[in-house]
Amino acid sequence: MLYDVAVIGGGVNGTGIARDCAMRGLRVVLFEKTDLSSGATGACTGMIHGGARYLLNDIHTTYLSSLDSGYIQKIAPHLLFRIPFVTPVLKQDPVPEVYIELLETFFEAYDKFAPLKNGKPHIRLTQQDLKALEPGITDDAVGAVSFDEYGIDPFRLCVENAVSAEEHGAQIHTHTEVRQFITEGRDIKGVRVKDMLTGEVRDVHARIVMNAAGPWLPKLAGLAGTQVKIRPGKGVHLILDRRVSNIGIVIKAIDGRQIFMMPHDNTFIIGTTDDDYYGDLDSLWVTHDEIEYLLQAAEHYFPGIRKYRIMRVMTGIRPTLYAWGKNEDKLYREHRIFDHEAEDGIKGFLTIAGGKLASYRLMSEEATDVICKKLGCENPCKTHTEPLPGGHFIPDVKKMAEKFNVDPYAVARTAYRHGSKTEELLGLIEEDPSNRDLVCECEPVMKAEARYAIRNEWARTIPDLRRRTRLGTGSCQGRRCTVRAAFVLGEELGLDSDGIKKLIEGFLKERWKGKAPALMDKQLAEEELNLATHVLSDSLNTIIEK
Amino acid sequence: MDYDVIVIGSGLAGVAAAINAAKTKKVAVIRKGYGATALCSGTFDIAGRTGKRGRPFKDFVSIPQGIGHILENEKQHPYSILSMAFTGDRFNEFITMVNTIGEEFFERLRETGIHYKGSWENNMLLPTQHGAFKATSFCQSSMFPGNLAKLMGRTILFIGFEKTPIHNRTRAEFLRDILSKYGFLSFKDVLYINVDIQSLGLRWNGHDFISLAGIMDDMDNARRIAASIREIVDKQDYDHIFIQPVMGIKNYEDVSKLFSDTFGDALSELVADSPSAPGLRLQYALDRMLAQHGVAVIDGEASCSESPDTIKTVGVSHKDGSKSTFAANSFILATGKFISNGLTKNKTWQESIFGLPAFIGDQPVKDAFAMKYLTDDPLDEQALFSMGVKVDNSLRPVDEDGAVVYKNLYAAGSVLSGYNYIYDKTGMGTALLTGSKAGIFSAG
Ligand SMILES: Cc1cc2nc3c(=O)[nH]c(=O)nc-3n(C[C@H](O)[C@H](O)[C@H](O)COP(=O)(O)OP(=O)(O)OC[C@H]3O[C@@H](n4cnc5c(N)ncnc54)[C@H](O)[C@@H]3O)c2cc1C
Ligand SMILES: Cc1cc2nc3c(=O)[nH]c(=O)nc-3n(C[C@H](O)[C@H](O)[C@H](O)COP(=O)(O)OP(=O)(O)OC[C@H]3O[C@@H](n4cnc5c(N)ncnc54)[C@H](O)[C@@H]3O)c2cc1C
Repeated sequence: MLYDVAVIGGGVNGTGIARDCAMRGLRVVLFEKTDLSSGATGACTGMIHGGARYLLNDIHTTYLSSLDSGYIQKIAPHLLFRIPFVTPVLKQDPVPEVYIELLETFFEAYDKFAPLKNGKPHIRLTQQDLKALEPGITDDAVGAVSFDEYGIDPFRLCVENAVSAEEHGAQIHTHTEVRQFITEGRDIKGVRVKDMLTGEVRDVHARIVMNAAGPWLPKLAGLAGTQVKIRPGKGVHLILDRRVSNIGIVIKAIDGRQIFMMPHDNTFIIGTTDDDYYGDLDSLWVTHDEIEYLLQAAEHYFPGIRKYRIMRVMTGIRPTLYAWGKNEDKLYREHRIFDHEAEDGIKGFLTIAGGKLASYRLMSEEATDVICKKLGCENPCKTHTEPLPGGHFIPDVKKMAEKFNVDPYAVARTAYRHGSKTEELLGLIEEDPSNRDLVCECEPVMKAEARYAIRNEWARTIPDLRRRTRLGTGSCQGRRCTVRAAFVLGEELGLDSDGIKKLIEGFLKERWKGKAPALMDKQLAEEELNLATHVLSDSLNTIIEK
Repeated sequence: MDYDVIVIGSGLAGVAAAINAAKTKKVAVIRKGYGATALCSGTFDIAGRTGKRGRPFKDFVSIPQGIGHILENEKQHPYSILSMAFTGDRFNEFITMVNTIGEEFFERLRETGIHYKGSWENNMLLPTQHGAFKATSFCQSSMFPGNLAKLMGRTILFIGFEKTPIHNRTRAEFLRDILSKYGFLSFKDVLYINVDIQSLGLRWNGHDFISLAGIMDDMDNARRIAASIREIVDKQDYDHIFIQPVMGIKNYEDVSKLFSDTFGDALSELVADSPSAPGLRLQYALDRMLAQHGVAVIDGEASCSESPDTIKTVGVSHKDGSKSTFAANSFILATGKFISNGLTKNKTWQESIFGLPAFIGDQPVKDAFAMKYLTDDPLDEQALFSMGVKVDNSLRPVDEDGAVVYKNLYAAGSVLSGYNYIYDKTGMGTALLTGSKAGIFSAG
């Protein structure tokens, strides 16, 4: 079988390109070495922002971002949530009366882009307005300017792109790593892949190989005999155990860098850092310095922040375009498509680099245009008008809850993630009534949703389930759901006890990476319970050999 | 003087201390709530360190061997510290002390309506709700017949309270597999079957076994459920039945009697996820014990302002916002580990009421980063969770130079350093022993 396109990488760009190519009628195969959205996409802030921060040095990015933000709202209405933001001005800011004027002028300019993405125009807030809106903000704030942004669940965005690609005939292979290229002379003719769960190796031929490996893209370019440089930027977020505030707050760190504090689902996130990173991409750990840098910034604007519980930290690497002489924040979030035939004389190989989550659709469209031109395909792009699989309508939660006799809150959470597919998913309850039982009690996640993710969305491990359903992301951080989830996967995939043990171990380790660096204060209580449950009560340290 | 002895904390350590001191003294317990004791699975580990990862069950069966290992190799362990008082055959004298204190305490527990069974010789092996197993020394009588080590070659039947059998099949098979590998135990057969609680006309959410235990506190409900289990198992060929721990909480004595009348020794409860009914039963029994022994209970959060070498009073903030102060001759700190937030103060690692230094091993940890005491694998032994206050041979907290901080302050239970109950499996054993001894020491 000769594919038209083999995509390397199941991040938002890889899945976005796979979808676009498949919708234009190309035969597509996608390989992802770990899981969909397990790279930069899963570690990002999840903002489909209009790119206000690029307004000063990169207005084109702002325009395109705003435009595409509007498109994404149309194709994935269920996944987007509005986040009203404020930018407070503190009395310590240099000449605050002037600064707030400047800010307002800035957001007046941004307002021009607001209609593109259904944003509300800015409001200038007095000190009293601000305090009434968010009493936790420091008394040093003299006022603020508001603006509107949208957030998204980046995991779902990615998965829905992949599901849509599959609906249009693409083959999606997760846990499958591209190890090598099949070459003829310098030209690329396909890829040699290894199934990371079974160890099986096979060759797959394709007319075009698209390198969408995010921060790993230089490695793949190297394997293909060329070089693409990026400036890898490590970004860290802190995740708190509740919605500390219902509004987002734009703050400045000690070095003047802009940071967001914002509600996300049932949590609150603070981030991000941005530092050059040249370490092991497959073993990222967060340092105490990074945590303290973010906490100090947050504390400056929100003095009580340390009273809340940091459940976990997350980190990822931005695949930023390479540019010399700029500090990290000034780096363009712009993207580029490298045509290695034109640039290095390597036929059949393309690389996509840079960009942002918010402009993934546009980037995918551009990349697909290049591919189509090479393959002589003239079908137009439809990804800005055709809804993603769950985006056809917003389901009626109350009606669903009654029909399937399930807790409305659980249905509301499922409906957020699955939109117009919710009813199909809840149909699993008719197959087996216990599918309404909860696997994860925090989020909550019903067995039905876990099974659905395994059957229809390629979930093979507990972290895969976590990405698709938010299982294990709540305040108990996997204490109650880890073993339960392993058994659901075990049933669905027909695993033996060794297979189930591996699943449990995998998730405990994955959560630990996020929890250990931030283990302090109240979170220690939760972790004492967690370890007592898994080690003391269930003897997992006996059952799972090192 | 309000009291002779004030104990802070009403987990196992605090209660053991209080009733021992109350034999001769006027005692009060201050408690801000429930801690690990209420959240635990209700079994008593005396000794049974598993040592290396993946080591089979037969390696940690013997309790005296486990204790011997601690006395020899773990100098900081509260067991070792308490054994220092003995001048002759330390090991045998220590074993005698553990048995005496333990037996007496289990007798006191029996008077509250909860019967613990087990042995000072061998750990038993109990199956858990998750499909794993736990080695432990003593458990509530409704769990005791479930010792898997005694059920080799038999047919085991799991009764689930769910609507689907699938989940249980995988779990039952998982348990069989791992037991043969790590427990060297094999069974004739492992079966599973389910009772549909909702079809009995009872309203239950289907996943929370504490609430089902609460439903069973009503004897009518308990009778209906027991009868429906009876009806189902009568059609099966089995030797032993396991059910989730649902035999009531407040009414455990009656409900467990009903089950043993119905099933004899052929049915027992599983060890369950936290929080579980057995943990709560234990905590409620301890509450009753305090009343039976004339110990006053003061609800509120204790605090103490600085005072040189002797503590005179502690302040208590009550839930309604009011504050009061209590004076005593001696004080016992039994505030638990992180669960009750007892080891951080002013953003540093310190005991939170008196500001005592916190230790990991021999090292004070004041400003240390948590990561220093953690490895990258959560199933490894994590030293951070051995943090606590360090004490002398009479359980009085000491400072970095080994000097006693307050002449009249004692500490007991998981607020102590030198052991790691999560890994060394001496949790309740240490709480019971140090609690009882602290009570005795404080009474002078
Ligand atoms: C901390 C942080 C915050 C961010 N915040 C935002 C934001 O708020 N808004 C926004 O618009 N953008 C944001 N971004 C940027 C955005 O996340 C990225 O630009 C975008 O997700 C990149 O997607 P991608 O598909 O190119 O890369 P990735 O998501 O990294 O996908 C690449 C995939 O390739 C896979 N892969 C690698 N090697 C191989 C191989 N050999 N074989 C098979 N598969 C392979 C990887 O496993 C990975 O899943 C943020 C980024 C970070 C790190
Ligand atoms: C999930 C889990 C399962 C476990 N399973 C087992 C098991 O199977 N076998 C076993 O042997 N051990 C087990 N353990 C360990 C065992 O439960 C503990 O080691 C033991 O209960 C500790 O008792 P304690 O009295 O020291 O502390 P706790 O029970 O935590 O009691 C502390 C008390 O101090 C009070 N307190 C704290 N600060 C203040 C203050 N400032 N003012 C007033 N009161 C205060 C708290 O409210 C509480 O009442 C388990 C632990 C957990 C968490």
